[in-house]
Amino acid sequence: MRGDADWVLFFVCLVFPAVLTAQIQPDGLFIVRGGIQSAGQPFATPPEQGDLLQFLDGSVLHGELKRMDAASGLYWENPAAKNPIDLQPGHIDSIRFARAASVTVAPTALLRFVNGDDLPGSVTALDDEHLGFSTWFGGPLAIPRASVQTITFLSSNYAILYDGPSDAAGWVIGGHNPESWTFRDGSFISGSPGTLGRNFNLSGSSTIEFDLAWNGLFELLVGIYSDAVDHFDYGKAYVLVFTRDEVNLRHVDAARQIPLRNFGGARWPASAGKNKVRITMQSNKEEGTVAVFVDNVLAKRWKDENGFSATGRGLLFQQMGGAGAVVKLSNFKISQWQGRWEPEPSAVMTNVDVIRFINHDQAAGKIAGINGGNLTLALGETLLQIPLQRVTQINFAATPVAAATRSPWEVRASFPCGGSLSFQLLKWSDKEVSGQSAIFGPLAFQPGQIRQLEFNPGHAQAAAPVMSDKEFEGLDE
Amino acid sequence: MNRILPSLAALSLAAALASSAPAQLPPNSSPATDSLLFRNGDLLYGQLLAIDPTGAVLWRHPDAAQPIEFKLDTIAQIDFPAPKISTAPSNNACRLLLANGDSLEGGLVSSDREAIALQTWYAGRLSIPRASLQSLVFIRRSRVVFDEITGLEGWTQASAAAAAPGESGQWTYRGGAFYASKTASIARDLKLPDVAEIQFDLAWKGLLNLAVALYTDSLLPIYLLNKDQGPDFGGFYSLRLDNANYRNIDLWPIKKNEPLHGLGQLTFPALNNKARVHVDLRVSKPQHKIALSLDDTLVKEWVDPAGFTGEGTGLRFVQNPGGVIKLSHLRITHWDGIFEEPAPDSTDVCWFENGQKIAGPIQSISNGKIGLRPPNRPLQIPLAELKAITFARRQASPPQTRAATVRATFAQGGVLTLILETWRPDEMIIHSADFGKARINPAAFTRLKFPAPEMKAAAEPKE
Repeated sequence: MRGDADWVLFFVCLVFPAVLTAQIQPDGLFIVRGGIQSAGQPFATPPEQGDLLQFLDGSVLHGELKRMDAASGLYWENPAAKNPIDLQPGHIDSIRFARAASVTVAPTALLRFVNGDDLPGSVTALDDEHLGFSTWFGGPLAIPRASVQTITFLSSNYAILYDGPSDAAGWVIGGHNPESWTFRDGSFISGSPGTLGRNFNLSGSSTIEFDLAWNGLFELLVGIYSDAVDHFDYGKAYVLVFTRDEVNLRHVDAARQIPLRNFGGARWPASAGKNKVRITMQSNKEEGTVAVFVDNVLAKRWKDENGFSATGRGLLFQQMGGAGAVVKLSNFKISQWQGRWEPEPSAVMTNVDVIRFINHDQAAGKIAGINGGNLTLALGETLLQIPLQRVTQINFAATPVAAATRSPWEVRASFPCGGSLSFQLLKWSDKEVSGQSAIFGPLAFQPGQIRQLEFNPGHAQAAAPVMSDKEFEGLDE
Repeated sequence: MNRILPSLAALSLAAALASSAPAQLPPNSSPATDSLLFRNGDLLYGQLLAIDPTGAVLWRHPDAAQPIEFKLDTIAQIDFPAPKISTAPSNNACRLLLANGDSLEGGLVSSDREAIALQTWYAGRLSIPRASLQSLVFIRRSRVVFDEITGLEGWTQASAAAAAPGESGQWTYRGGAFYASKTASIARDLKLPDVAEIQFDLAWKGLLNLAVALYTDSLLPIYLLNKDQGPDFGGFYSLRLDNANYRNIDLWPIKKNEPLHGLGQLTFPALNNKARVHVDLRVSKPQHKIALSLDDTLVKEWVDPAGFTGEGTGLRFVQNPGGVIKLSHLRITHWDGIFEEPAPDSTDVCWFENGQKIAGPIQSISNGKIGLRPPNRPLQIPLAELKAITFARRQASPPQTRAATVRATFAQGGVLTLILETWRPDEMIIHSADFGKARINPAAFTRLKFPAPEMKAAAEPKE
């Protein structure tokens, strides 16, 4: 790992090769002062390639889904084909839709189901058999309790600021290297040094999630609550430095005598052999903390004893362009919330019900129910009434689940508002998508409400590898 | 930097497996998967059924009810699984390198001042103008020493001494390849010949940090920082390939109780931008030389001034801490050992098996003999005594416009430039600027690369 002085020098030279005012301090640390401006530019509009059909064997075809049903299969229009292609779903991995309409939701809770689905909404009640849950697509529903793994209660004023990208609108590339980032199929890709930023009007605490994939020895800087979105500036900002197996937190404030503070780093949990992870960054303004989760496992939570000291509203990525390194960012979800407690990305797996509280305590027992804004917890013979406002998460005791019968038309839909649902697809037309859910019964959506459809869930488990297929994924031609 | 004699070196790349005998697929070969690469980057696996003159590509996909018809101008490349072709070397089996870089394998039948006749398993008899020829290498015998990884049996695994606690792993075998995700060593005495070609493919994710021990007598890894205190071992060469450093390739002669010194590092930036590479090492013990080609490009030729250090005949692969690596298509063959020795442009040259050569215009080739007219007197030389021929440069016919043509890659290496009329599973009809119209067995090729439509249009005559 480089020393801090090296880091700043490297950082400054790379980002601002010419236009900077620097002083060398006695300790050799470079300090950058003065305004540094770099005219960022919006993305050049990439050629529209349409929806993306991906097969389990790695095949990918752009085009447009025309219709789909269990009786006649999937009808795919591809510009290279003279006629639409009639396909069966047996070897299809997913369809990613180029355009998906945003859905406005104001959830107070996030459900995670035993089958891996998740759904934002509001808890209305709970008893031994059912969870009352209000959803954006179906209103109040009674969900079998045994199908729910976790309820995460969201902080007050929780709002999803961004879910995407479905296009590059609103994003800005640093002016010094306009070729550094490209947009394709819902992903930003960078193979050379450059910045990518966007103003999300962050004001309160936030949760920033995205998928990060890479090749080679990458180094990715992420400025959170950044003033500038077209270049790194040295106002008060936190910078997370990601490498292939480590994350560090730094704070840069050009106004301070020692502008760079290094909060230290942490190795990623189980990073070996991976080239894709889900990153979650939680900034809690009231507690002055920044936390990073990798694949929903906490890597590290840092506390700034000076209090949260970043003042900008944007997010800025800087690909440092290590030898041959390529990074890909996709599936952003940026949410904002208020209060001292934060949405809990990780879950507890136990054989009893576990409740987490806003003061980070937890209690285990049997949850008898939720009613009237209170949760009833049975501790032996004692029943405790707990106001739901004090609860951040409920993890239900794991219950045996019968293996579901797999069908080629079993799909998992992901929505632009966040959340995903598995169901048996019955029909897809340009008017409506209909299906049958084991949890919710009959379902219907507008086609534009679905961002992605995954087919053949569990196909990775179906393989019987000598080693982890995921670990070596991509090496085989 | 010295260069390997392009003609002979390139020819020898696949000469080891070439044959004039008909190809024979092994009985258990099953139809594997073809792949279709589109110009927009899309990729589709399946099976090519046909390409017709109207520009339609008929493709079978297991999930499609009917064959799919694609437009040819949207296709960049089609790849086919490589068939296993049995080899039957003979006195006249050879590989021709043409002036345009193409190469052809077959049996040398005859030659006069105008053309050379080659009998091939894939296209019958071909007549190729002498003006199109650059060189020819004979395929004398089965040169294969080791062909393909088939399992862990016969290999020795060991913990790499440099591994941190908990970081030492094993190589794992799957589907013709070795994989490692942690520090791991695997070695085998492969009986490397004194003059050898060693080829393998590497693919990796993350850090490439591979050390290949050449001509080692130790199947256990040698910890270089402690080599003089560790167990005895004979000298070997350590080839290092990594994508983390600026100078990312080097070669070290390693001997017990002797200081470490490299034979020369080099920077190969492309290694940092890749996730896979084909490695081709050509080693000549008598000449103390090792030449390294990556993806068919010669990148370095090392000469050991202290003589050849390798004292064993084994190979060892050690993946050091870093990423995940796949090693496949390991092939070791006897090599003709010809490094650079520029041939005269003005006359033909015959190269003998013993390294001698004789120059003079070739008058004819027939009945297993070559008629040569050196300055002194005409000679008749049995083909069996020759290793290779380089042809005098002649005024060639105008080169075929590459942009308008398909580049077809032979299963055993080498490329043929052609205009494709039709493709069927049992026959391709093509036109070559060198030998005209021909019917070719498609099993000869593993790849068809199509010109971009704009290039094709630019090459077409304008009214």
